[in-house]
Amino acid sequence: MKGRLFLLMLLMLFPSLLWALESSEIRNDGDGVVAAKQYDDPKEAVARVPAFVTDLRTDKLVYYPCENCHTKGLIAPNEKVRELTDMHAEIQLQHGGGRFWCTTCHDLTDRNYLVSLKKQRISLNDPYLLCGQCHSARQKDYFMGAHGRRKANWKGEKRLTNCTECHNPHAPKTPPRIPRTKPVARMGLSIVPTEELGGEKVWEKYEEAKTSHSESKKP
Amino acid sequence: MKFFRQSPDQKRRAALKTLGLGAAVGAGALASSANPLPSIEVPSASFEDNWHEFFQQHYQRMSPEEITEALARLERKYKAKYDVDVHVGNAPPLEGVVFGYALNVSKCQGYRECVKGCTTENNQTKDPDLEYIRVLEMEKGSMNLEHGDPYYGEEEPVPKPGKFYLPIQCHHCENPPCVKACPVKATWKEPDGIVVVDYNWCIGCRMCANACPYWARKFNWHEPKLPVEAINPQTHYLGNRPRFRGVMEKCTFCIQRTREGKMPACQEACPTGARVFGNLLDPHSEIRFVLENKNVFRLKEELNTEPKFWYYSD
Ligand code: HEC
Ligand code: HEC
Ligand code: HEC
Ligand code: HEC
Repeated sequence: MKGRLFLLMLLMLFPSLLWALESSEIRNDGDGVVAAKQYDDPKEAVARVPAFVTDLRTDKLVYYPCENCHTKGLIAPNEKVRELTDMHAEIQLQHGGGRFWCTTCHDLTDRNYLVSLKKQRISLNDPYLLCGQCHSARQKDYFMGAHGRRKANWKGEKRLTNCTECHNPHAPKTPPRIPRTKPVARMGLSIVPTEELGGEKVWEKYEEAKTSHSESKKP
Repeated sequence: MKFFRQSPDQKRRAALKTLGLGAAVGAGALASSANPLPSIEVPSASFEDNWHEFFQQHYQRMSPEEITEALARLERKYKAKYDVDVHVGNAPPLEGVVFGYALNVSKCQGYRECVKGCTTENNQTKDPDLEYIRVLEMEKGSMNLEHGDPYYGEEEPVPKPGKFYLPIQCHHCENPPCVKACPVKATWKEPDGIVVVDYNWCIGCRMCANACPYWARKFNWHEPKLPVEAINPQTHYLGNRPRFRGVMEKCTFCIQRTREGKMPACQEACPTGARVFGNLLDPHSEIRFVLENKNVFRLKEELNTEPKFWYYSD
């Protein structure tokens, strides 16, 4: 009884402990490597989401079909982490902070496919199934419409933009770019950046004047 | 002020003369009901069309036949003015649909692609462009709209470190102050929630622009400069049909597109997927998912305007 009371008081003093008790359920799914739920089959991810379609990716790929070089005995699969020189030299893997390599995503023996962490084959046309293993929160948002985008309509067939149409899978961070032209100020108005006014806002000047004024009035 | 005291009256008199009405009807009587400026600006439109346009009723009070006539008249007029076959539609609101919009501020990168998409779609005056969307560059951690900079330069790449971007356009309020401010009821909220303007009924007093807390309404101070090659011929009477001098215009959620199931031009143009549009009454729509599962907020909520435009971050 005493022990329980002590525990209760402890909890009242440090409510964060309650959180700790629960945390075995709340997994770190902050888009890191720890997936909130690992599906045995990546396709399970789409089982209970609103139906949608995506455009083919394979006809956009420069190197496809990969088979042409990779499985016809021309190039032996090579799992080693290395600088690629003979081919694909333009691909610099800037994803995952060095935690994984090409073969985490590309099937080593059948290069026409992507591969899940549990070694199931994923079509190159469905990269969202691949990405979702590690980015499950973003994947859910994607299926429900809060990440990524639809194409063309808000009503009727739901055609989604694939992850790889926006993110380069090898360097997924969106690089900065130049924006479109800025608006023109309406006639009679001029745009003077605050820096050119000496960084001073009009109201700051006013405040200053007010205080100095009241100070000078003091005897 | 000079513009306002003298010019409309003189114009009106000139207008009446053209129509051969000078003696019959007092200028003041007409002034409050129809905007006399536009029809006069087009010399090649026929006398009959000008006459009928002058006495055209308010959109909501016209009979179906009168609307059909008005649309045909407009099409003839645009043909005469631009030599382009413009289609002016009047698709009615869809049954069981109220439109809502959500914008992900953590995804918006400040590219201004939406602004470009909008001006390409909506037949605004060009050079300088009249823009419905204003993208504010904001200090991270601040929500003071007054300190947002809409004129951030096109030389530096975006997003700049320490900044975030907040596009603002018409919020299509459930409780729109602009509609209340209009003295002639030329602007109103449609059943699908879109706030529209009857450009033929607008008298150009600009009270609505004063009332709008989101800087959403734009005025045509000059005869719009719309190059023929820039005209989008798919238009709606309450939407993107070419406007005239002296009328107010604003974002209509691309009424000509969205009432046909297409997405608004700004959403289509956005490469980041920051924009979510859909039917608020459909529990399975994307917009409802965002509203129910994300941390959403609206601008200037304390004004009780009830915008149907939400922002969220994740
Ligand atoms: C023109 C021939 C060619 C085609 C087509 C091709 N590759 Fe390769 N690929 C190579 C060569 C050569 C290497 C070895 C490069 C090195 O070791 O420097 C390689 C290496 C790789 C590697 C590194 C792992 C390994 O086994 O060496 C991956 C992953 C890879 N390719 C994926 C693909 C994918 C995916 C496609 C199809 C979209 C593709 N390749 C199409 C020639 C090709
Ligand atoms: C995070 C998973 C992932 C990793 C790691 C990865 N790839 Fe890929 N790769 C993809 C996906 C997904 C595509 C399909 C891209 C698309 O749809 O545009 C792809 C496409 C390719 C292509 C075809 C590109 C084209 O345009 O033809 C090649 C070649 C390729 N990868 C090689 C590599 C090599 C070499 C590595 C290792 C240095 C690697 N990949 C690492 C996911 C990955
Ligand atoms: C094997 C797990 C794994 C897979 C599969 C994977 N990612 Fe990642 N991704 C990561 C990790 C880990 C990071 C965090 C990298 C870091 O900490 O620098 C990351 C980061 C990212 C980022 C943020 C980059 C940044 O620096 O802001 C994006 C965007 C991203 N991934 C997109 C994708 C896309 C798109 C795919 C599918 C083609 C994908 N990821 C597949 C593990 C994965
Ligand atoms: C319409 C374009 C688009 C699509 C489609 C898209 N993303 Fe993104 N994504 C973005 C933008 C823009 C950002 C924010 C910029 C950044 O961090 O690179 C982003 C950010 C991310 C991040 C970084 C974390 C964050 O939220 O800031 C991850 C992880 C990510 N996306 C994963 C995915 C995955 C997985 C898919 C497919 C299921 C996907 N994205 C589809 C545009 C897109």
